[in-house]
Amino acid sequence: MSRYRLIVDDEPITVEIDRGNQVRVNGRAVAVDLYQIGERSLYNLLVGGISHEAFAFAEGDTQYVVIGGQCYSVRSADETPVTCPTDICPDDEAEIRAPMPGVIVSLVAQTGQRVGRQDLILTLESMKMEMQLKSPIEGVVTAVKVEPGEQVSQGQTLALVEKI
Amino acid sequence: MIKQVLIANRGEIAVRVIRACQELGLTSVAVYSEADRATLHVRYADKAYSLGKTLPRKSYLRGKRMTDIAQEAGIDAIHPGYGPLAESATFARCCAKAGIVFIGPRPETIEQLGDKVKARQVARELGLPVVEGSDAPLDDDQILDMADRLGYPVLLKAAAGGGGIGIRRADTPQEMRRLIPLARREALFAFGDDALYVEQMVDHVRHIQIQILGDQHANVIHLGERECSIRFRQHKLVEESPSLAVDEAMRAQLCQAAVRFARAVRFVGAGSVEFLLDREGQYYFIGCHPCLQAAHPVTEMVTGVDLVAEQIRVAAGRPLRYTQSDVKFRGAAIGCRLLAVDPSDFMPATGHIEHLALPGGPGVRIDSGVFEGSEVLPYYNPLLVKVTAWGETRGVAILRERRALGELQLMGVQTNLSLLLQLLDRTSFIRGAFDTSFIEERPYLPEAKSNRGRMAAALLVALLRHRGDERGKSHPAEAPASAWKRQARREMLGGGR
Repeated sequence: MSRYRLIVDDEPITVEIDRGNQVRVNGRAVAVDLYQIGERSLYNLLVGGISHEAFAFAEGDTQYVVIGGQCYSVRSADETPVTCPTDICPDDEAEIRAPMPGVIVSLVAQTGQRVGRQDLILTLESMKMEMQLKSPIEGVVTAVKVEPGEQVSQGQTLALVEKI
Repeated sequence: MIKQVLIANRGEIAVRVIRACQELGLTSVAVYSEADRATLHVRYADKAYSLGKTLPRKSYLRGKRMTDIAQEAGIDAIHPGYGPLAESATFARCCAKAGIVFIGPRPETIEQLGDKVKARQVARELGLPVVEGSDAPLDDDQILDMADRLGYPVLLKAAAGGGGIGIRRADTPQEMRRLIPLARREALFAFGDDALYVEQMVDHVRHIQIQILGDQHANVIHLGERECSIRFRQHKLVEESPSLAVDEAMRAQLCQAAVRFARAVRFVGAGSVEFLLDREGQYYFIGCHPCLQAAHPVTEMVTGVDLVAEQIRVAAGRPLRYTQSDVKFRGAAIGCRLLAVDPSDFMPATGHIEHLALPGGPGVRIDSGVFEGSEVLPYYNPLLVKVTAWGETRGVAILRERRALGELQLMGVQTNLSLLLQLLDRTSFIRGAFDTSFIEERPYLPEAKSNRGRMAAALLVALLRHRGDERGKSHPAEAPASAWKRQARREMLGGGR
């Protein structure tokens, strides 16, 4: 018999599959049938006769399963949880980055200009959406690295603000 | 005589126009940007020509390039779809100069309608009620004076604005002072014209548009109303026809007003006259779009009229095939727009469509610009698919729409699908008790995950591992649903947003 100790989101779930392909979830027997649709990561899963369409993919040691518009993360119980990548910058300097690829619409602040917290630095257009990028800190604009009309990629540094 | 039609657009609307061309036996000609080489409109069309780089300014907005292609390829007519070229008098003139039929109104009409201030004047002269505001573009001081006179909050609008862009709300004179330079810069950038005007803010309104058709022989008819109140800022989400807010008497008034307005501007082609309806049942004229609207399928479903075919016929000089009494309304239609956006804040989403299953069945119409394998880019309209359902009654149409959206599967790019499903389940929506602030007042609620879902996810992973299928474990580079992943990770870490 194989035992899979999994963590789904935050909840531990144990699945046991014996030689005869009998399946138990947390010790209780369930009737399961898994069918892969075509060549891709799309599945139909019958659990006790109830039909689920599921799409599965993975990143590192975590697998993700989308069922009914919800995304569940699944990892083995003995693996360490994924750590969150941080993009916190020191308080005395802030990088204004493009949250999305897009086009610079207008530059509101100029190099050398003093800005307050939440003051508008520039506006970015992505799809039909206009985004206002604001300064997270009070300080002075030390660099503006783009021009109006310029195409920028996601994560690109657009301007720098430093604490005085 | 029109034999070949160049479709100066992309996405679902280009596909819609190509379909009409094919049904009329015309050669359809697509144009595409660098990034769109493999998109649906290019693959559906009979012919296709490259426009240039990916950015709209370097491709789909290049009117001169469109007319050059048309001339070189011996194309008779250009259909602009909707959007900037469809509302550009300059482009319509360029077409005429190049000897190409522009499928739309006369340039003078487009000009008159494109300038919101002029359009308001025409409406006033006809005695149509308009929202209080300025009748001419204003300078900065005049804007502040006018806003004081109207009383805050007011709307600061770009005279050349359209598609919900170039409209800002100001609640105080301080805010207005801050907004004026910003709005001017923006209007100049977006529309090449920095003229601004001010309008009173009317709260709790419903947005009703009347579909009109006109030909070159001075015939104008209407095809009833569409309600487009369900929106989030400039993103329209749901359209329906007929509207529950419009009774017989109101319908007669609005349609008659729309036809009178269309006659006054000598309207040719398909367009929509836009009105606001307030809680007291007062209506206000707000503008007229000189082109096919994204919302047009609901009208086609309740009237049976092919608006695009009619546009092409009248552009060729033929009279409308319908008189007003020929137009019969049957049942109700409701259309929902699947957008590539985060449902909680409508931030654009991008990515690769890994899996797409579109709905079908009785009474369902699909207008899609995407396919499995297509890339959703940030530079274009986020509209992916329109799902429209028809029913003998509004209730049946809603049930069908609900069923159809339930069938729709799209993986790889985040969409507003769950928001649309929630909306269709809301009793206030079903009763018709809503206005344009409906979505903003009811933020998206991420649905609680079920134990059944968690168990199914665990079973799937366990069975895959048991079978030795380490799906995805080995190829994280081709990670499909990055937005899903981010969301799941956030939830896993208990971070929320």
